[in-house]
Amino acid sequence: MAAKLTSLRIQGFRCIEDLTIRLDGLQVFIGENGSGKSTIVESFELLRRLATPGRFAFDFYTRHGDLSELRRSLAIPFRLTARCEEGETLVEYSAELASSGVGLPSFAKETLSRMGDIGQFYPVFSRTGPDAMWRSASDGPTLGQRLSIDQEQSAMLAPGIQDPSGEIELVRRVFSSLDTFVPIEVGPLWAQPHELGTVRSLRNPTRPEPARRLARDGSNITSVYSTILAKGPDVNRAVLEDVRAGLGLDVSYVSVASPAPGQMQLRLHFGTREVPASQLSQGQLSYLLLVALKHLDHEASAVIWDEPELHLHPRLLTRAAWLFEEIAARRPVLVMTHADAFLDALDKPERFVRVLTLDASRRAVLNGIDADRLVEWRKMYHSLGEIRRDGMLPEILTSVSQ
Amino acid sequence: MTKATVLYEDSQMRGVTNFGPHVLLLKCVADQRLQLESEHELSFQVAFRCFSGVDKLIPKAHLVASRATRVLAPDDDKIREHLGLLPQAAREQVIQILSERTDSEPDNVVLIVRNMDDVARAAAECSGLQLEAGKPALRDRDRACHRLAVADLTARAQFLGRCPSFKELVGRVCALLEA
Repeated sequence: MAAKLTSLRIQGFRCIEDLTIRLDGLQVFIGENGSGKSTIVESFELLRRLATPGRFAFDFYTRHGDLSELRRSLAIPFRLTARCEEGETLVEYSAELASSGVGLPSFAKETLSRMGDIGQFYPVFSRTGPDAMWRSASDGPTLGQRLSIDQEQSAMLAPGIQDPSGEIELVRRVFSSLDTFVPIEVGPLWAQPHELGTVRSLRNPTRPEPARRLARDGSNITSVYSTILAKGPDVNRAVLEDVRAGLGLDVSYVSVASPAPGQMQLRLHFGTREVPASQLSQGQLSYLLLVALKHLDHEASAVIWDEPELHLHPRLLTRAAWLFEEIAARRPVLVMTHADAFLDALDKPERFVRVLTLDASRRAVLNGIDADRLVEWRKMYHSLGEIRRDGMLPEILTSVSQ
Repeated sequence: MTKATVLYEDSQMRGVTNFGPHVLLLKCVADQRLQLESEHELSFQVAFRCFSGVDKLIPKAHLVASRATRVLAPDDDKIREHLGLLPQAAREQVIQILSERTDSEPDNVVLIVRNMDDVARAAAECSGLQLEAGKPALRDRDRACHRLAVADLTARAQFLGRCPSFKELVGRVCALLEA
């Protein structure tokens, strides 16, 4: 049984006061600008960083900004609480961050608990400020060992920790295998930022290196395809089927070629014409990234993708939505989108679509689609996308239990 | 140059690149024409439009294909009800009415029996793809058609044997290409 993330509760982060996201299959989040979609993506990214060795607090400050500016209000703690599951094991991790006064966040509170036999969580560790209490190796539910730990990183990464039952390892594994994607910049080479005469782009030839997962900026697309295409003829056939369905019936194959010693580059073959990645359109590259994500073996604990519609024609976006449905058969997938075409591609939108709205206090509220109301409205409108386009979406919303 | 434009009816299908049933049609036509052209080349001669329901197809059909012959391919299962006919109304009568209402040649109206779901199910079975029971998901339906389009000739021949109405559509398009 693969380890998985089952829920994330976000508190006190920008427009989100208290929101729980349950992860299961595909979920498509829509909502006005500023309703919290990107904040949800960022929260998952913070989870990933919590389990990544390094200086979490410093990275947080340099990448996300001053915590005091991210908090919804001083009265509400900034807290992330996630539940992970593997077989019979269910654990809950929670991190509460506070401003240290110099911009860097510090861990005000951090806990890890495990679900016991009687249906209650008992602590594995608990941290308040620089001190952490750990359950000793031999005991049961009581805390024993006390450690003084680095304020700049999660206690999960503290040296010398004891993890006899593997709960910490489980959480680290789940968090670190989260895949979060923001709109990927696949613009033409001429529009890329040039620094010291070099351009970092997924269009350029790259050095061969193994790739188990897709980089967030898609820069390792060539290595990823090299890995996928080496998996054998069945996988090659399946990849080609997806590529042809999206990019044209005249795609004869996909290859990774070596334009120069020590370099490789992704290429598409249209009949006898070979087109290198550098010459593919932005939409073609974006679609190829999604096909790669589907065929990679990397077992992400969840895939979260913000605005995958960037560069994709609405008709190709339908195929992108179907790819996400297939990816979601193996792991939870969260997609944030503004695209009606994405909604219209879904067989049962009432099952997959979540709508973020803001209440009178500009707090994010999570809604679902009322299946019965949708049936009624679809007698007049062809699809959910059309209903939304006409501003009728509020008529079919239903609350989602938190 | 476009010689024929096929008008499908699909109440759920929204626009998608390389609409599976049409890809399969092109491949079957390519088979019939002994691979004179690839399905990609044929796609320039045989276009398609997909309407979200027969209620959209009928009133808009006359707007389509001003420079090519239109071939109507609505589903057979609900067409009689839509036209206000009895369930047992003869196929010829249905075709005649459709032809008059859409300003199309009766020869160029082919009723897909029973509907595109059945076509996809047959495509799945002939290409070795497992479909879940019940109404197939859109993407699975599309995939079944794509899978059969790249399968070998015998699989498609078997499929056409099981879907005579689709075979009729293939024959109609072939005839228009040869005209």
